[in-house]
Amino acid sequence: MAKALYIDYQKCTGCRLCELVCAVSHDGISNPARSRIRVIKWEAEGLYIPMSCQQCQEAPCMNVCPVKAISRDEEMGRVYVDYDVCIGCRACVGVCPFGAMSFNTIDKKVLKCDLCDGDPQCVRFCEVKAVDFVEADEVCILKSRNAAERVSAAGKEASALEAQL
Amino acid sequence: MDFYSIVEGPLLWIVSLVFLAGLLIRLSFFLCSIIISNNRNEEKGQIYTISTLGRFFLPLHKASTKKPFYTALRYIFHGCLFVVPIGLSGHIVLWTESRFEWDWTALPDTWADWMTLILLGFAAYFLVRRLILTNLRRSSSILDILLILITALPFLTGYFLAHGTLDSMAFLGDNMVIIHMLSGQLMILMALFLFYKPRLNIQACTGCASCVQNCPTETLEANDKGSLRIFSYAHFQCICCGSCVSVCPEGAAELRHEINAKRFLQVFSKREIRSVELEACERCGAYFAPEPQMGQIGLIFASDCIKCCPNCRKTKMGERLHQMSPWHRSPKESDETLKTDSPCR
Repeated sequence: MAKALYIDYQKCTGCRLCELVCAVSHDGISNPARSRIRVIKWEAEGLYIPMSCQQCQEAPCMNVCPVKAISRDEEMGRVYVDYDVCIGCRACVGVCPFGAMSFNTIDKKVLKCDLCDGDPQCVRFCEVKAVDFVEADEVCILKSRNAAERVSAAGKEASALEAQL
Repeated sequence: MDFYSIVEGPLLWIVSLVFLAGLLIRLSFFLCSIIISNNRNEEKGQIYTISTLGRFFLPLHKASTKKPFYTALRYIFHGCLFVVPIGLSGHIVLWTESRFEWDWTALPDTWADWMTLILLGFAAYFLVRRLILTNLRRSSSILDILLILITALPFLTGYFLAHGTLDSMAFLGDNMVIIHMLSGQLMILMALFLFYKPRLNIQACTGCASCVQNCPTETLEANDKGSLRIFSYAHFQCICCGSCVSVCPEGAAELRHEINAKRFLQVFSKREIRSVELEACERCGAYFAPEPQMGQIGLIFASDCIKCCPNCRKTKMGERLHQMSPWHRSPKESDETLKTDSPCR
């Protein structure tokens, strides 16, 4: 079964190490602008959300590509760009509703998360595991488990407060 | 010294020397501009760039296979154009009689006749096609038509000379040789000022700049200036590799001949060939993609999401994600902060 990136943004500290690691491991340049994963920050709220490619099942980038350079790789559970076929028209950059693709004018190639061929470096370097790499069918279980934990914690907190009163 | 001997003697020398010198100058300009500007294909190197020289002429090139019939015509036409003047027995006799005393195997006369007729037929076809097709007529200038006429004229007069068809006519019969030689010399001179010009069809081009990304010599360039993406090209750098034609997903790119004597001296100048409006982001106002391309994308994936730039999309999606989550307390208050504080890089 394919694995997927599981982003739990509540854990994210906004250190942006994932951006640097991504750019270095793909392009050998320590430049966050070349990163496939981007952390969107609202400093006032202390809210940091890492945004990356969602590897959509019915990917708009795949449908819009005029030369069919983008295809789904079911084995890896990713949407994959074949750079030999890609002509650099940037239609995929224009269509992605998540803004997950960008264009690198130096190499004349689009940037897109390729899950590092099964070993995502952002996951490896994320200390708090705000970005995690889990089995795709486990994502919903993990999410419901997290929610359940939080509900029970809230319940305990509430009863503790009640006891104080 | 009468006019005939001038045309035959000094003028021929002048034309040939000018042609040879011009070729050398063009070659050096071309090499200069390639060496100066070739930093894009560092990965593949300058040898790759030079290997793409004239790739457009390979019969199995992708750009050629897009229009097989027209390509075949073009091949035969250009083949005849070179083979007939070089292989004609009448011309070889002149070479042998000259001070060089060069001699080579002649083309059989019947072949030469047929090839000339084929060439003339195709030239007529190209001319009629250019005059009849509205699209072509609008986009071609008088020089394009002159180009075909001047190319055909030496062959036409040569054919008449070889067969003596018009010898009975007073003026033409007497002066056919002069017309033949003059038009031939004109054709040679014209070849010197012949450039390739990439064209982007306004109706079909979406402004995606794939042609620019794939141009091995940086002939084509696209610059985003304000709300416009401006395409320009450097005529000396074009090596007629046909990358732009083969890569264009809309079939909007074309390569054409262009005669322009002025261009010869404007070595490093760039000329604008097309400008496309860019679409502005709904949120931050940054220009992010050409309008025709976004219109085309809208046909496949219609959504409000794609009305803002990729960076704002991330922000928007992040906001949405946060608003849906159970930790999103006091929605009104944080909504405001989210809006005022939204980062947009």
